[in-house]
Amino acid sequence: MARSLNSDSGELALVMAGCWPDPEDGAGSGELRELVRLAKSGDLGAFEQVIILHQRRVFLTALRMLGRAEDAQDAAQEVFFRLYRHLRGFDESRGFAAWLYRVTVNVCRDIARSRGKHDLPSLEALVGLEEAATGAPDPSDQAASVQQIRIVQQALKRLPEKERAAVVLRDIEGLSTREVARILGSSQATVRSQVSAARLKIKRFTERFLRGRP
Amino acid sequence: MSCRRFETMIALYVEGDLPDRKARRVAEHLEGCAACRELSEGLAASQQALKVLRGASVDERVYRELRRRVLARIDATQAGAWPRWAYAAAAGLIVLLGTWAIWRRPSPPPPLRETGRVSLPERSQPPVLSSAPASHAAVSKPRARRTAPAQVSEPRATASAVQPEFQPTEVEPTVSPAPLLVKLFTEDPDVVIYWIVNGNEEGE
Repeated sequence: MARSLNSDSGELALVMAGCWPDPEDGAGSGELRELVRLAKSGDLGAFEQVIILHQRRVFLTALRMLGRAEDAQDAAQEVFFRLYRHLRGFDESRGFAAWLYRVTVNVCRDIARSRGKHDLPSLEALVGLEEAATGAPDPSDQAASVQQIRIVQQALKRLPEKERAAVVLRDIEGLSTREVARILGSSQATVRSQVSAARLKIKRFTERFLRGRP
Repeated sequence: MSCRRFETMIALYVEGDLPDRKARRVAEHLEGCAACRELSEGLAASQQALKVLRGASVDERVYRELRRRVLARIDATQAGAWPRWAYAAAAGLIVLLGTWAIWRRPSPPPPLRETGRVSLPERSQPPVLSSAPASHAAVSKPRARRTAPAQVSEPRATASAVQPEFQPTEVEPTVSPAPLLVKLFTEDPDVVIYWIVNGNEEGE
C-alpha cells in the first residue's frame, strides 16, 4: 500500500470509513478496524489513514490548549507517534478517540510547561475562523464576530491549565461531562466545577475586553 | 441562596449541565432576579462565541505536514533499530567481557625489598636521623640495642618526621628501581615504623 496519499485518497478513505467528519468513538466501522489491523502489522499507509481520521480533533484540541499553531503541530506529531508505538496494544474493535484526547491533553500540558506562556495567540490559530463567522448577514457583523472569536481565544489562553482542558473538551469538542472526566482522570463533579469556573471567566474577560478594559 | 452562589449553577444551567431538580431551582431564581438573568444572557452569548470555534477549518497543508513529520519520525526510529538477535548478541558479548575482566586478575605488585631492621632507642623525644640521603643511609645493618629503649609516642609519624638517632656503621647504597621498605622497630612491640623509599629518592 502506498505510504504517501494525496488529499483525494484521504477523503476517499474517510468516505469508505463512513466516519466523516467525526470518526467513531467506540464501535468502529469495519473499514476503520481494517485500517487499524493493517497498521498494527506495520502498514504505514494504513497508519497514515488512521492519522487522517483523527488529525483534526487532535490538532484543533492542541491548538485550543496551546494557542500556537507551531506548538499544536509539535503536540499532534507527538500524539500520533505515541499512538504508533502503542498500536499493538489496542483492540481494533474499540475506538481510541478517548485515548487520543487524553494523550493530547497530557502532551499539551508538557509542552506548555516547557515553553512557558505566550502573550498572544498566533494569527495562524485563527485560520478558517473568518469563514466560520461568515454566517453573519452584514459585513460589519461579520467583523464583530471575528473580533469576538479572537477575544474568546485570548480568554482561553488565560485560563488555568485544568479549566482550559475541561472547557475545550466539553464546550468546543462537545464531549459529555462523563467522557471529559474519564479523559482527564477526574470525577464528574470536578469537571463540572472546572467547566463552570472557566465559563464564568471567559464571560467576564469577554465583556471587559469589549468594554475596552482588558 | 445568594446570587453569588447561583453564579456557579447558572454557568452550568446555560448548557444543560444541571440535574433536573437544581435546574428548576435556577429557573425559579432567574424569574425573580434581573441581575442573574443578565448574567445568564451574558454567559449564553460567550458560550455561543466559544462554540463558533468548533467550525474552524485548517488548511490541508497543515495536516499534510503533520503526517509527513509523523511518518518521517517513524522511519527514523525504525532505521536506527537493531534486529532482536543483535540485541541478544550484544548482551552476550557484554556478559563475556565482564566475566573475562573479573577472572583476569592483575598480577600482584612486586614485594617490597626489606634490606634491614633498625631498632630505635626508647626515649621521650623523637629520634633524629643522620644527615645521609634517605635513599642510601636510611637502611643499615642493625646495631646493638641500647640499654634505654626509645619510646616512640607517635606511631603514625611519617619517616620524614621521625629521625632516629643512630650512627650507621655501614651505608649500603641502594640504587634500585624497586621500592625500598624500611621497618623501624621500637622497644614497644606494638609500634613499628614503616618507611617506603621509592625510586625518586623520596621517602614517605
